[in-house]
Amino acid sequence: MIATEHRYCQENARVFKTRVESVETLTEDLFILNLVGFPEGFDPKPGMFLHLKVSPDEHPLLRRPFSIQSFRQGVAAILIRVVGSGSRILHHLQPGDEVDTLGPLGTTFPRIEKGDSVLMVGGGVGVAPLVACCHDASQEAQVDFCFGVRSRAEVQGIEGFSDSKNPIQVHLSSDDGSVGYQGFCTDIASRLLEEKTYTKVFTCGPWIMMAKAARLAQKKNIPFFASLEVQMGCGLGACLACVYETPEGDFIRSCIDGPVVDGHQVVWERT
Amino acid sequence: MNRVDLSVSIGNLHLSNPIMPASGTFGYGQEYAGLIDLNDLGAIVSKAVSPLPRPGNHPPRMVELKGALLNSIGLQNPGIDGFIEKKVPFLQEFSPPVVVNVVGNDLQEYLQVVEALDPVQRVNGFEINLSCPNVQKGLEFGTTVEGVAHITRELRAVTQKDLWMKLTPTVPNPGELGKAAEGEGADALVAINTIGGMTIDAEARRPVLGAKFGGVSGPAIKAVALKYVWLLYEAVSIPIVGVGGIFNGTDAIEFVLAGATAIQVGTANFVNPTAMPDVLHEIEAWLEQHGESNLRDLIGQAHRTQGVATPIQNH
Repeated sequence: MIATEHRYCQENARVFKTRVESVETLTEDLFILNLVGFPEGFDPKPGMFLHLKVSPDEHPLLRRPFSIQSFRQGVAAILIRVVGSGSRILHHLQPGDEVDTLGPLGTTFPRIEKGDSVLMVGGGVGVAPLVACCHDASQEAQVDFCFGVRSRAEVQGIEGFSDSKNPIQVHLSSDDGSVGYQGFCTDIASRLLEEKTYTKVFTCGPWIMMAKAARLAQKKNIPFFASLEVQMGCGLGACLACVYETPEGDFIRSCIDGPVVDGHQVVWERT
Repeated sequence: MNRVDLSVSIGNLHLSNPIMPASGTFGYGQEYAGLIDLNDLGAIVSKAVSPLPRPGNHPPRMVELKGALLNSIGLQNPGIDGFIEKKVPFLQEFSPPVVVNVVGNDLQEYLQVVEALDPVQRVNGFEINLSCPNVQKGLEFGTTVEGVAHITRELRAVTQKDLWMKLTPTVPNPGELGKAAEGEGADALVAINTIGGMTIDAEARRPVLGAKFGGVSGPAIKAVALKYVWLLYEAVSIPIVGVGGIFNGTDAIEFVLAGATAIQVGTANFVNPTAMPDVLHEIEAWLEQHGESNLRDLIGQAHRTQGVATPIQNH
């Protein structure tokens, strides 16, 4: 659901303690945190995120937002890159450790329905909410998933997607050429857009990558949904820290009016 | 029934307990209503209201520091009309007194907001933001005895509702500013607002915040706020609402001992959405553990405690 008017509250958000089931290390700075212990009725939709307090201490002070890559059999998989003090603490958690969790938060990608043909452009940890969309997609839809990684070891979450019966076609690209095409996932997306017709484009990843996807979607005039990550405070829409600018000059909150927004209503060019 | 009496009075307002949000950290209540019961609060202090809507500052607007936040939201708000149309109906559903935080670019704008909201029944009082580092004029009003006296006098003339003056921390003479507000009829003082600051990205070689400067809040400013409350308590007789880095019940008790009648929870709301009820329960537990039956007995008590300080250890 994309917010057509600004929301007043995160309707289903709760604060609760989850527990670490496991930490799967993929590379020296990329890992999957598997959390369990969610309350009854916890039902995140693709694109929603959890806001985690990584430490009971006063530093790091703020919670950290993470997209939910999958939620199956009570286990939420969170793909995390170590980029600072918060993510480093999470990487060192042990099975059984408690995590102060707020969620589920935010808007969702539209469900991929029968007849849809969707182009996904995801890079780095930005592939996580797109993987969630794939799990939720109709079996009678078509998806081309441009999946950008730094190297082969970062490929995860897509097991079974490329079976012939499955509608998800994964197009891998890597920075170092160790898997798939060597180069940007947007190069593949650009080629696919010339070859095929899509009903929607989804993106999540580094800002520069999403800005490029935005230009491609704009050129073809295709509905375009982007999951934005802007530095967040409360995650509830109250602090007004995590705003992005629209072409009309409004400031919209990425935590509650996003993270998934109409990508055509974002000023992508940064000065 | 509570086993301890947490109720306090500020001016004409009777609060069932001393806990309320610091303006700007709680929106107008809606954002938190699914996570806490707003009726558990002593009062609801709104985000700032200016005469016309304000879009706020260009991002980035918030940076995390060590034990603190630096923000430059820029008082983004829907203006008087937006507040009345969109926020007041929601606030009607709850019982705690509503105190509207007022901001303007000049005296006329402050008067405009107070005059427009004075007839609104659901509005029980005004918290005058004399100190926001994100509005230059606010600081000018708030840093001189004459400035504080003048704006208090002008606002007192247009409303009988409760008038709380929120003071800036960046002055050498808080007691004199407090006396100036008290002398012109303020019902309470609120201390402190955020402390002006900035941070620079060494790699990019420029300020991190879009607005360059912002206000520092959070645990790191608690000591500054406590001293300010202490000095005000020595100077004035009207109630003081203490605010600055309160994250738990002991923090709140420290402010009460320094002279605060009530306390505001700010940055903690961003970290823990249930911070206010949590702090309230911790205050209650603290009083029970210490054999106290009435919070009011503790107001300013640290000023009267006899004897010398005992040695302390790092732990």
